[in-house]
Amino acid sequence: MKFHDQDVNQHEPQQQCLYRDSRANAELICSRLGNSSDVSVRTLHLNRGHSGREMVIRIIFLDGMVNNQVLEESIIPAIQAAPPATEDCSLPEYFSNHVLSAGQIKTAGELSGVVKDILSGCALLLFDGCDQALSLAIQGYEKKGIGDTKTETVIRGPQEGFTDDLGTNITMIRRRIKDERLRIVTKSVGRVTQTDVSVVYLEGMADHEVLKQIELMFEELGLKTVLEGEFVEEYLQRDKYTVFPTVFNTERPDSIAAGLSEGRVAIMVDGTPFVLVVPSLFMDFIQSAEDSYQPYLFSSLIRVLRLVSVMISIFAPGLYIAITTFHQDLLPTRLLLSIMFQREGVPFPAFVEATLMEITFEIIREAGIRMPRNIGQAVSIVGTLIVGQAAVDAGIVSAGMVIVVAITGISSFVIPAYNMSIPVRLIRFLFMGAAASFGIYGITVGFLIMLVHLCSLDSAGVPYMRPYAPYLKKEQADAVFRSPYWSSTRNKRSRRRA
Amino acid sequence: MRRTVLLIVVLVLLITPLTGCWSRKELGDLAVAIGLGIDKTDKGYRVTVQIVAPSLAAASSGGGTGGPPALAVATESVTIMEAVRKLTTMLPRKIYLSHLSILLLDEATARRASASRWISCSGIMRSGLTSIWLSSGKGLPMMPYPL
Repeated sequence: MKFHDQDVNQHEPQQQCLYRDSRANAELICSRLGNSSDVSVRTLHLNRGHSGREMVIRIIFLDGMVNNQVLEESIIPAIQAAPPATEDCSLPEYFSNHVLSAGQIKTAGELSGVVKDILSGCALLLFDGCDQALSLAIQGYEKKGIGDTKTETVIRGPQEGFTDDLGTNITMIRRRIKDERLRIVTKSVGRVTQTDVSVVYLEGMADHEVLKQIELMFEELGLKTVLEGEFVEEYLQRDKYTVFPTVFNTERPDSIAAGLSEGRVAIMVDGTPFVLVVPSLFMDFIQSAEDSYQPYLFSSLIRVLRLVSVMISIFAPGLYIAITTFHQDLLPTRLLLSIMFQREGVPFPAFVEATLMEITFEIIREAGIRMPRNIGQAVSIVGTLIVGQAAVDAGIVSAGMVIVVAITGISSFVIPAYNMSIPVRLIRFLFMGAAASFGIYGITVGFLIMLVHLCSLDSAGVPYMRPYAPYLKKEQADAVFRSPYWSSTRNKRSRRRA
Repeated sequence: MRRTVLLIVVLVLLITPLTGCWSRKELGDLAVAIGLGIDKTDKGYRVTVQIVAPSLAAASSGGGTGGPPALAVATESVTIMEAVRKLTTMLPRKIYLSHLSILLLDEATARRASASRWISCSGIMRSGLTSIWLSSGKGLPMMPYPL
């Protein structure tokens, strides 16, 4: 929805400093925030016995953004109980050094700076007769707790997933990588949303080129709103005319920890549990976190199975079309006859039939994702009974076609990364078209074009099809086949010992 | 650069309709021949083709116990090829010989070099799939059900 096309924050306000009067400052800040109803100003009058002068301290904060308990039980009593300041230091300095117990305190004197602090959940302390203010980082908004991963479930392995809160997510990474080289660089992007985006990497492991590229991307990023990783991801994928994803995203802290220790760079956006990883290669989208937590033989087989599934979900409908309309001699006689009998009475050519069914399946899939949970039953009944059984009985599609569409659909669910199943779904239709006009020859040429395209891609400078194109022997340990953790290709130290 | 890419895309898209779906044959337009009988006659050859009839299958819902229903059509012409081609005029579908499983020849045909050359060179035979049977008598005997 777009109400205003023009930027809300168009003109950068000129630097304005705070007054020396706390009431004037409070009014200034309140009016800057449009006297919004959640802006609270708390005025404390401190009676100073010996000087006889009453001192006023104002606390400005946003309701719900600060931790009320800290404010009420620690900050305010501390200020009220504070002994009079000695003359040799300024009030903010005195309070931050001797009175307040909050963790992060900083002094600020510039209006837009303090407004930004308030907006990010700090409590601002204004003093009478002083043009400096103190901002206390006592953020305490309601946030979702750490829960299970929703999109990448595993049978064995870590169960917790990232949350919507950036701070919590960074902690989850810190807990997994206790290495002093871990670097976290946070920037706020989005002119309106001021979203915190953290770049996380291991110093010395991460490629400088990649870091430079990310830095460049942040400079180019001129968005008004940044609400999810995709806003950043599209900038990273710029100049790449492809349907394949070159940025991996995951909500599993263990996947991120593994990626970081391999020298990848993670980009975390506040407000979403999905963390981006660059560089990401084709094989990353075929691998699941669970592969590392199951026996290596089993994991390797499962990965082969996944690759086969990718192939099936790209080629199955195309092959069905090609074989039934061009290469009937490829089928065993009985199978050909059985398909013929099924298709008897189907009014459409195979291509139209396949397209019809594939689109129907995509509609059911989209409905399944988008609809409210409690009407899920209805859609599955309609999906299976109406589209499956009734369409065959009515002679609109053949039973064989339903089987092909079903196996195609199921295969595409095997792909662990959702953003990889999207290009697979798209390409499927291209292959169907190629099959309908050229037969298996069309599929072959199409496959070659796809392969060349995949090999031409790169993710942040790393060839997309690595370690296969270029072929790197020492990286084969964790590509399609996962070698055991004790194997010599994986671990140089064990080889030396042996 | 962008112009070239666009041009290539347009050209590729144009190729798709230009082929006219060469050698595309929908299953509904095919009459799958599973048996072919050739007899020498005075005029030339008499060719009998046994085709699977899916429309009969649809009528009798499944074809019963004996497998798919089939029907036989026969023509007579000077050469075998001509007779096979002539069959097309008698049927609404194109005869599809790739799945031929039985080739039934009478003795006179089998002895003729031209006939055996046609059989080996016309590409109707698929090794491992088609079996050749010889009949001793004249005239086409009842073709055994091949599947």
